[in-house]
Amino acid sequence: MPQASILVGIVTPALFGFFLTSILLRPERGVVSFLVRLSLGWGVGVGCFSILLFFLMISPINPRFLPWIEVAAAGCLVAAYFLSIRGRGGYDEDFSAPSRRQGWIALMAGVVFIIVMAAAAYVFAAKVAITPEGEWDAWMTWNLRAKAFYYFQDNWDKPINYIYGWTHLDYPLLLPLSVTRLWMLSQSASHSIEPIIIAFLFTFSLPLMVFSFICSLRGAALGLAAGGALLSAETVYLLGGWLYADLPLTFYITASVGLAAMATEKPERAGRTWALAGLCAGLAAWTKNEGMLFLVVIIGAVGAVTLARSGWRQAARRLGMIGVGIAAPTITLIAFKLAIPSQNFLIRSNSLERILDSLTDPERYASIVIGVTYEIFHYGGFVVAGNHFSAPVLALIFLAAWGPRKGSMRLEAIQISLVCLAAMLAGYSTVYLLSPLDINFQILTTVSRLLTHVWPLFLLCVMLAASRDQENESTAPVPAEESAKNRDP
Amino acid sequence: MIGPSIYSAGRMAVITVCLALFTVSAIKQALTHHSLYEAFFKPDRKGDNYSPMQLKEIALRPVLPDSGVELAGYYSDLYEVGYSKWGNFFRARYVALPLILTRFHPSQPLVLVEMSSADGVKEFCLKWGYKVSREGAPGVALLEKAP
Repeated sequence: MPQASILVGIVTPALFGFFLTSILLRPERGVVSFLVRLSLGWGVGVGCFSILLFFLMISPINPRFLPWIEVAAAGCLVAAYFLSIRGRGGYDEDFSAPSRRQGWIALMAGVVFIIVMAAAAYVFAAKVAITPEGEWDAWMTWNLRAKAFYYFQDNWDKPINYIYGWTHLDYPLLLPLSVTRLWMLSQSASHSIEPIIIAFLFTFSLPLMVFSFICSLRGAALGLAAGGALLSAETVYLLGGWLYADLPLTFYITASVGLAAMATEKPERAGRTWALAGLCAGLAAWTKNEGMLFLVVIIGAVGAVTLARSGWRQAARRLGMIGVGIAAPTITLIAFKLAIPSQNFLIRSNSLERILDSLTDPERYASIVIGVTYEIFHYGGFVVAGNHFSAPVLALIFLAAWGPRKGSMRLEAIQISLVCLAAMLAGYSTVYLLSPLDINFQILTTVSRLLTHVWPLFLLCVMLAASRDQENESTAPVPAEESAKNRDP
Repeated sequence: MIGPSIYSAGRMAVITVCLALFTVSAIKQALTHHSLYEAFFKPDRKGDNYSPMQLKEIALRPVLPDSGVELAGYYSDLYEVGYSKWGNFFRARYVALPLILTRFHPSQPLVLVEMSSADGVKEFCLKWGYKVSREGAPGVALLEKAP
């Protein structure tokens, strides 16, 4: 029964992730809190299980025991959750009653969210019906590697040995191993439904997660608008339909920064939330090499912002908790990188002379600035009367009309998100600058994907900067006052 | 109080327009992909003129082992053939693609293939001088270069 095996292969990590996030997040009662855990749970669970499979493959334990080990792990976690909630007080979701204006906007945004989700699901379905194997990177790299791991599960060094002609050996393994484990459970790698299911769940967990984060922090109207705005950039669900690893990476980056925002805005019992943010950052690094940049960025952003606002003790405490979360994926990544005999092609094909040439070439700087700026102003959105209103521009117009919160730039959550956004863009630009490949080709083929990685971070900043309710603005707490109580216990 | 209410109405109008544009953008994509989907599954496509053997020939075309140019040969050929009706290009490519899993060069010591049947594996071995090293499901095999 391959269908039953696939179902088990999806439900087990989703349960594992749901209960892990439930243990680590602030105990809160309500639908939105449930949605946060649900949307995070799938990604967290599947990421953790890919790590488990990696260590099973390199250990003497037969990988055929995988389903039993997974079920035992999920069962232990469910038991741990029910033990952990005994005697633990919970919090009610702190929603103030929405104003009439917010109620109307929530209604409109709700309709918009449903329509864009349906449209995105249709595009995804049409895309995978036409190209069930995904686009170039999916069948050349990610799923090809997954097949290699499936066929050589008892001889794990073959899929990472260059003599067999695999492409991009150094790419991390979260996605390939997640596909492999579903193929192992269904005992066949001859159909492409498994990668499609994984891509679908990542693609549509992302808007649900953005909605639930914003809804939890700023209310339903802004949450629904954020979900709608996210999917107004078609690259999000197209990358999902192409079965690329960029969408899982975007998922983990968004989860990590969103959790950091929650930890700063809901500081009660936030220590474990920082650990979960760290785990998601680690899983980002275990998904794509760009995730390693993000790992450095989130550590730097949380460290710098906390140090500037609350001193080194608080910064050390937060970074310590992030470090706890990061540990498992990072150790796995290091083990993998040490095991493979290959360097990234951007490093392998480069030289000091070439780097110096690139650094002193003004045309290269101009190409990067023009290429990235052009893409930002043509990213998603819609053309009205010959003018392209890109999705980021529409989101800013939305913020201006809604009304920004007074002193929003002083909010710690926004500062961390903005530093992450700026640092990721700076990091990507630096890679463009130093890359040995033709700069125009590289910008043309990658810039929209790279912008997609940080597009939800931009939306988080925009929606967190919106006033809670324009009509009650005078009664809203002043961020500077909030910062005084934003101390992790 | 007319001023503030007009101001507020104006803001609501802008918010509504933004939400409408988010929706229109997604609907436009859905309609575009609906057309692509219909075009792809239309019965009168040029790509259907490929016989299974021709598709296999395309897939088995030797390619250079260096990264970056692998598969580019047959990619370009299919692209030229199918470009005028892009659907053919995809169809042809994906019929051909599952036949071979690793990048392939006739000098490669090992190659993993996934054919539609065991006969396909035999045919491949005969054509390129390989022998079966290990068999998986019917049509799936790890081949090693025959001495």
